[in-house]
Amino acid sequence: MKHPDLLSLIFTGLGGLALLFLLAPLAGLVLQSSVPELVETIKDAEAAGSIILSVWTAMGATLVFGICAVPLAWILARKEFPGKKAISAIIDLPLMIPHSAAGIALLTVLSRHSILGRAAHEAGFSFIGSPAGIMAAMAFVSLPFLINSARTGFEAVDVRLEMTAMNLGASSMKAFFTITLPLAWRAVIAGIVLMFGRGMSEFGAVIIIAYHPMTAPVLIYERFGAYGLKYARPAAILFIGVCLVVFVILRIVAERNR
Amino acid sequence: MLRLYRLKKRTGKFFLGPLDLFVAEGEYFVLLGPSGAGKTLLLEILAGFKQPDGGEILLDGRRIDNLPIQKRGIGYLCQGNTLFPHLTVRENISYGLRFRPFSKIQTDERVEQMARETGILHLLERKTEGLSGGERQRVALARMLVLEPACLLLDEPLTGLDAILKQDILGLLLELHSKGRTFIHVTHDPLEARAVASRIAIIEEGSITQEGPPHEFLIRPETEFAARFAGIRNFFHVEAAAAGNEISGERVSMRLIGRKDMPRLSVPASMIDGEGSMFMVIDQDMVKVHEWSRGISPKHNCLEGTVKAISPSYGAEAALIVDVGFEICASVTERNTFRKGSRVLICWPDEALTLYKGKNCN
Repeated sequence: MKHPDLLSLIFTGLGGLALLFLLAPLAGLVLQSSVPELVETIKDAEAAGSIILSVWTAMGATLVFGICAVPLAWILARKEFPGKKAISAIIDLPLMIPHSAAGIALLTVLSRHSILGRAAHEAGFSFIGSPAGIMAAMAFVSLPFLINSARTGFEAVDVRLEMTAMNLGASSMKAFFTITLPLAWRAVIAGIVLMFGRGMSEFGAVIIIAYHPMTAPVLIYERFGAYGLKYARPAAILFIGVCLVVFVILRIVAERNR
Repeated sequence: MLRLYRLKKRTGKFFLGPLDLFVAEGEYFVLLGPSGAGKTLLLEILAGFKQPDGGEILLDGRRIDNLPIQKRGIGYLCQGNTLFPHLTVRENISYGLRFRPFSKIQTDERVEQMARETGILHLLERKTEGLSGGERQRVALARMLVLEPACLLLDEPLTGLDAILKQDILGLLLELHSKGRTFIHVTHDPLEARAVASRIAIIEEGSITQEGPPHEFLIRPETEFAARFAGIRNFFHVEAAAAGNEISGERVSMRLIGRKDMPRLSVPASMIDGEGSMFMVIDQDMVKVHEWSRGISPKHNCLEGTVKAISPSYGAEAALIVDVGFEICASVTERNTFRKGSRVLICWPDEALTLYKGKNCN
């Protein structure tokens, strides 16, 4: 049998440590909780409601903002224009700034003192403390994941394929939907999954825009602050479990559609 | 058929044109030039992917430079693998037919007929992934030709293929062309150009420097570059030296244009065609190389020099590059007789000379 070389041994050891670091807290969480505790949390309407709210607002945010984000990703992948680098940097900005600061920034355009907030208020509706506000906060911090992933996907599609499609008679729109999008589909789906996951688990920006209705991360934080670790833990496990299930389903759907 | 009139385009520091060009119906036209000469840019303008800065493109008398890509009636086979990887061979070939008013049966008929013509009928249900380079190119050709374009642009269609596959595809291109199709084929390879072209144009730095049938271009190159591509190493732009330099009434002494203090070349006066400059080719296979010794006194058509390089040659054992003030190339049958730096005497008969007037002569 071939002996593994030194590099592989060292890298396996170091990589194993990184993996352990990721798994240990999750394992601790599961091992320290009991089944009756979990069952009780599932039955807890407030906890279950917060998880459902997190899931559907994250889906809504991904769907609504994704419709604009994917075209932007295509433009960034295909077109050259002045200020392109600046726009790329702006897109990455939400990844760099503290999410509480992102929430404050959003507040300036969504609060009742802003033009958008005032217009919403006059229409009898408010972003602050509403699912719409939650979606905006989720989208603000998670859009870069979708834009960047889709952009990488579009860039990987040889532009000559699009040219060929158009030369064969396809309009630019048909070339996009029959060639570019199917070929970049995996990256777009990966971006959607990332955006959805990042949005669903957002805490910092969401708590600034909407403490109520409570999303799961806010609920976990509130239970931890008010009642301690013992009460926060089952809700956390449940939420992590739901996240995993949703991801697995999305991945399977993405694989099937490929 | 296809006519370009004063077509020009600037991209960054590169200028293409102004180009005037005519390609007749049923012609196999080859545009030959090095990388960066503007070949692909020209094809992209013809196909409609880039807009020219000025000039006109006419196809069958109709102006097409302002038409969208889809309405030009020009097929463009991009360089490299451009098959749609998520579609089967059949779906690739029928892709363009989706946008034309054909029923499913008509589409299938056309696809199968084209696949038969290009020798890929057995591949129709395959994914494109496992296809060889040659098969891919056949599919790409079928996909274009099934739409019956008025003219097909081929951008380096043999790139990346091995020698045998190149022969196969060249054979296929000639066969497809023999059915009356018009091809404009772009390449940097002179052998490829010679193999298929009914007419060749040489493009250098965005301009067409010479065009004509392959045989004419092979014996009468008009630029250094064209000569190189024709495999001619001894190409000179010459003019008669100043009056009084005639060796005798029967011979005229010629000097290289733009090169001062160079040895003169003596040619029979009967080869001179009027006033002004001419191009001169010395057939390298007829140039004789002698080891230099004090006893030999150079006659006309003989020059002394040193061997600058010994390079491989297709037709002979080797080619000697001899520096006589400028460089002259001679084919030799025995590689080892001469060494780099050896002093030699090179001579050629008058029959080795070709003198002619060209577009760039004054």
